Parts: sequence; structure tokens; C-alpha cells
Amino acid sequence: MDKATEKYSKEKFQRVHVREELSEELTRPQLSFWKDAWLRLSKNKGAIGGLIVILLIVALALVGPLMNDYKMDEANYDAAYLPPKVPGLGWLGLDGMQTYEVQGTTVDDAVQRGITGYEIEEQYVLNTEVVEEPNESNDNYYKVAMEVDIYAAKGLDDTYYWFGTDNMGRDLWTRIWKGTQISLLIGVLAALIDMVIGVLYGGISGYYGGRTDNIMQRIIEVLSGIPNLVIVILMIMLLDPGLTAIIIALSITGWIGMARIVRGQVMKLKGQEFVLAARTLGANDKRILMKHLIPNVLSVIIINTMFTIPSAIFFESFLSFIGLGLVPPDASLGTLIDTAFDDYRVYPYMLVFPAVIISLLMIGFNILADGMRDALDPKMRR
Amino acid sequence: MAKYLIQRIIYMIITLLIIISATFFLMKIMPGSPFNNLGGKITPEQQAFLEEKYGLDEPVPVQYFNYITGVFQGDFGVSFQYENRPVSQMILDRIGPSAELGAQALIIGAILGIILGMIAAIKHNTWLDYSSNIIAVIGISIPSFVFAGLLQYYLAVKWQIFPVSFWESPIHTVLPTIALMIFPMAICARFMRTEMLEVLGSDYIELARAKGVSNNSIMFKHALRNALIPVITVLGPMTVSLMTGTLVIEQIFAVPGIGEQFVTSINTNDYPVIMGTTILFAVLFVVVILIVDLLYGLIDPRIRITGGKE
Repeated sequence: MDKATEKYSKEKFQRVHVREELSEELTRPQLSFWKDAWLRLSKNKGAIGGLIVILLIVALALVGPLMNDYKMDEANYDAAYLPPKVPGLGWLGLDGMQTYEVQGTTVDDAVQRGITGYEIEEQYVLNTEVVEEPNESNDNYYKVAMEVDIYAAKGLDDTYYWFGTDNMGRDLWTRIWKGTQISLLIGVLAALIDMVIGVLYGGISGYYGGRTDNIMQRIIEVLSGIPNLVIVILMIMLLDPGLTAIIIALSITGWIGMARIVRGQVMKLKGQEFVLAARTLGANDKRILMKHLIPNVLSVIIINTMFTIPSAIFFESFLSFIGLGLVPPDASLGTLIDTAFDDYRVYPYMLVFPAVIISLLMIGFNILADGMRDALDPKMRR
Repeated sequence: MAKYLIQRIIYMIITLLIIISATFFLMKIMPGSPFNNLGGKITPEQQAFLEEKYGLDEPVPVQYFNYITGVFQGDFGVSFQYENRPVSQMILDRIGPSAELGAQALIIGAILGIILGMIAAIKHNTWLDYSSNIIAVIGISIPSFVFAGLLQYYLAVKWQIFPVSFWESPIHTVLPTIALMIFPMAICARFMRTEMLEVLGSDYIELARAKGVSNNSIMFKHALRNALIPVITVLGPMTVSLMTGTLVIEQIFAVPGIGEQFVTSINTNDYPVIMGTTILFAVLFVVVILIVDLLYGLIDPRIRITGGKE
């Protein structure tokens, strides 16, 4: 007998008694489908980041307008075109200084032209800087950037507009967050309407099959051949412009994608045993559809709805941009960007804030939707 | 195959007929007369004369019939805003810049997207993969007009690398093309990455590796070719995004194309132009979808067309 066998000799071991009832016991806590999905989602850093960005923007959209005393449609022409100014954040560039680019034959001439052109007193011109020396391409003019303390020049020393003001002197902070509210509302409502119509249509079409399905699918086939850009624009032109018109226009073709997905899933599921069992137990069609089929398709429905929200937000801002959106003084992120485009070369802050917010919102929703797809349906993981 | 093709073409014609009819009747019940924009300076007699001239005094069914027969002969009526200019001529005049812009954006966007997606898949789970993913998410998320505005402000107004607007030389096309191609590029990159990853995980790639085929050969001869096929399917969404994009981007960069014309017509109630452009967009979309479906079956013999969608 060698050493190893001696060391681990048989007598030193004892048999573990396996108890029948324990072998079946679950050692880990039971996880429902949703808990499991949440666990997977929470491990996805991107998705959580997206969720946080969305929550932050939603919170600011709700609280933001209450944080100062300006009203969203309160015009004050004395305070038009003021750049952003936040107490204590001057070092971030939010110091209320406006830079004008002026041209003249000499530096002094340029500044003088700027002073008369923009109607400011000379004492408020804090800084001048030559941007371009005279040369052939600019007709031998000096191009000078002059920095003006525009708040002081307009006698508004102690006033603060955090995001600046627009062409009518309305506070952009209030307008931007109100606009974000509207954009979010449109996105969520359009997505919900698409979901309801799509699920019903797809569910019925897939469940009943046969002739019903055939007719319903032919309708979808024709409808989906129409570019939704065209339908949306026509509908908006037909209806009175406004929130309702936009939501209706977005919903008219929006549900088709959802209907197709739900139909496919329902067709796949309806042949399975649990549906047969339910039918044997006497469940009627409505019950089978609502209690057995739809819950099983739920994850696909949620994923698809999550992707609809950002596309609805995009479409609304797109419509507003080409002049078919909300009517002033109502504002959405789209209309704010549209107004900003008129004079963003001199007043870039008007474009930057709504542009950044809509971009963050879209990125947030898209990343979160991606993450939810991975979490809810690991088979579809991409 | 022939049966399928005929069936598809019949659907196409039905769809187009529905679109043309819907557009026509919507325009008829639309509030506001096309002559509102003349500033209310015309007398009722003049209005009646104008209406007679443009055939607006006839009963709607007759107008409808005339319009439909006209459309099939390539006649889309005359513009209300521009003296006697046929819509078809206006569209022809403006299709050049739009087509050029669209083609540039589509081709460059698709190529860059495919390269990005391929790199992401080959270098799966490295920083290259992550950064290409980030570019794709940003490209899908940021609205094209926001992107165009930022490009114009920084690259043209502030740093003056490119001209701010207008359509005169190739250098003028750079910014609009970038703004328009970012979305097609992003969807292409995402799709390509998914497909490539799937192909790289398949048995025949494993076999090729086992045989000792070089890595480059596997990537380009085996994987890339097969992964490229499904990318054809994103042509549909890409066309849609190009159409949506041209409307805003042509406006921002003052490109004299169809999109810019369309937006102007919407704001001036120039119905014949709106209808003509709408029909053009619809035809473009329907034809692209048909081509995609046919190409898909032709290129990949594994997919047998059986009619109807999967």
C-alpha cells in the first residue's frame, strides 16, 4: 500500500445520507420572469445609464418650470435675446455675456458699428478681439468679436435667465422643460395607442387565422406600402395643427409593426398545449386571448413599445421642424429647435440646449430599449 | 417566381392607387384655398377665373378622373404658386441635387456602416466594438436636423472649414451628405455586426478554422460574403430615412432639391406640387421594397420565395 492510499484510506470517509425530499429542494430563491429580467437589466451598465438619463430629464421636465417665476408664454420684449446667466456658474460660460461679430474698416469702426447696430452703450463693451485681419476674401474688413455685458446694457443686472431668453424675451428654461413635457407626452401617448391597436389587431388576426387573417393581412400589406412620412404629413395638413393632430397622425400607421409582431407570436403560441388545455377546460376565445396568449407575448410588446417612444419623439420634432407641428405659444423640443434655427449663428444657446436635451432623451430611450430587449428576450440578444 | 412577381406588382399598383386617391381627396377637403396666399388682393371674378383656368370649378369626380389619367401619362398638373409651371417639370428640375445627395449619403453611409459593423464583430467585446456601438447608438438617436445644425454651426460658421450652405461645388455637398448619411450608417453598422457575429459562430466557419484556413480568408471569403446578404433588407428603412432626411437637410443647407420644394409647397398650400411629390416618394418607397424582396431571393438561394411575408 503506497502512501496516498493510506492517507486517504476508506475508513476515513463517511457516506452522506441523501434524503429524498431534500434532493428536490430549491437552494436558490425562486425568481419570477420579471425579477429575472430586472436582474439582467440591472447588470447592463448602458441600459441603467439610459434609465437614469431618462428619469433625470423627466424629473427636470416636471420640476423645472416651477423652479423660477417666469411663465412659458410671458413675453418681455425688453429682455429678448439674452444669453444664459446662472449665479455662480459664470465659469461655465453661463455668465450672460453676448459675443457679437462685427465688421468695419478699422477695429474702432467695427466696434462703433456694432454699438449703433445692436443699440448698446459703449461702457458695456467689455472686450474686443480681432477675429480676422483684412484680406481679399472679406473685402478688406476687420472682423471683430466684441463681448458685451448685455444684461447690464439692458438694465437687468440682477435678473437671471438660466437658459437665456428667446426672440420675444420668454424664459427659455421654463419653455424648454415645458417643451420636454410635451415631447415626452406625445412619445408615450403615441406609443400606447400604437400598442393597443397593434396588439388587438395582431392578436385577432393571428388567433382567428384563416379568412379573417387573410383579409386583415392584405389590409396591412397595402397600408405598409405607404411611406408613413407621407401619411403623417397629409394627416397633419388635414387636421387642425396641435397636439391631438400629431398624436393621431403618428398612430395611423404606427401600429402596423406591432400588429405584425403580435400576430406572428400568437400564431406560434396558439398551437401549443397550454392553449389546448385551456380550451378543454372551457375557456372562451376572449379569455384565451387575454389571459393566455397576450401575457406570453407581453415581453415582445414591451420591447416594441419602448422602441416606439423615441421614434414618436423624433417624428414630432421633425414635423415641428418643417412647420407642421405645434402652434406657438405652445412649445415642444421640436418647435424650440425650429425657432432657434432662425438666428442660431448669433444666439447659439437657443439651439444648443433643446438640441442636447432631445439628443440625450433619444439616446437614453434607445439604449434602455436595447437593454430591455436583451433582458426580456435573451433569444433575441444581439 | 413569376406568380409571386405578378402578385407583388398587383399589390404595388393597388397601394399606389390608394395613395393617389387618398392624397387627391385629402387635398380636396383641405382647409384654405391655394389662392389665399395672393394676399386677398383678388376679386371674386378673378378667383373664379383662376379656378376655371386650373379646372377647379368642375365636379370633384371629374377632377379626380382627370388627375388619375394625367398621372398615368406623367402629367401631375400645374403649380398654383409658380406661373403655369408643370409639376412634373418642377420635380425634374429639382431631382438632380436630391438624387446626388441621396446617392452619396446612401453609398458612403452603407460602406462606412458595413466597415464599422465588421470591425465591431471581428473585435467583439473590445474597445473597438464598444466605440462602434456608441457611434451606432448616437447615429440612430440624434435627429438628423439637430446633427445638421451642430455640424453647420461648428464646421461652417465657427471654424469655417466648409461652406455654410448652397449647392455649388463638391465641397458644398460634404456637410449635407454627412448629416444625411449618419442614420443609414448607424443602422447598417448595427445590422452588419449582428449578422457577422452570427455567421462567425456558425459551423462552417468552425470547419474552415479546423481546416487551417487563414484568418483573413475566413473573414473576407467566408464570413463577410454571407453576412452581407441580409444587409440588403435594411435598404428599406434606409430609403425612408433618406426621404425624411432630405426634407429637413435640404432646407438647412439650402439645397435646391425636392425636399426643400416639398416643404415650401406645404407652407404655401401648393396642392399639385404636394401631390406630385407625395406620389414620387410613394413610388420610390414601393419600388425599393419590391427590389429588396426580389434581390434577397435572387442572391441567397436558401431563401425560397413563397409569397407573403415571413
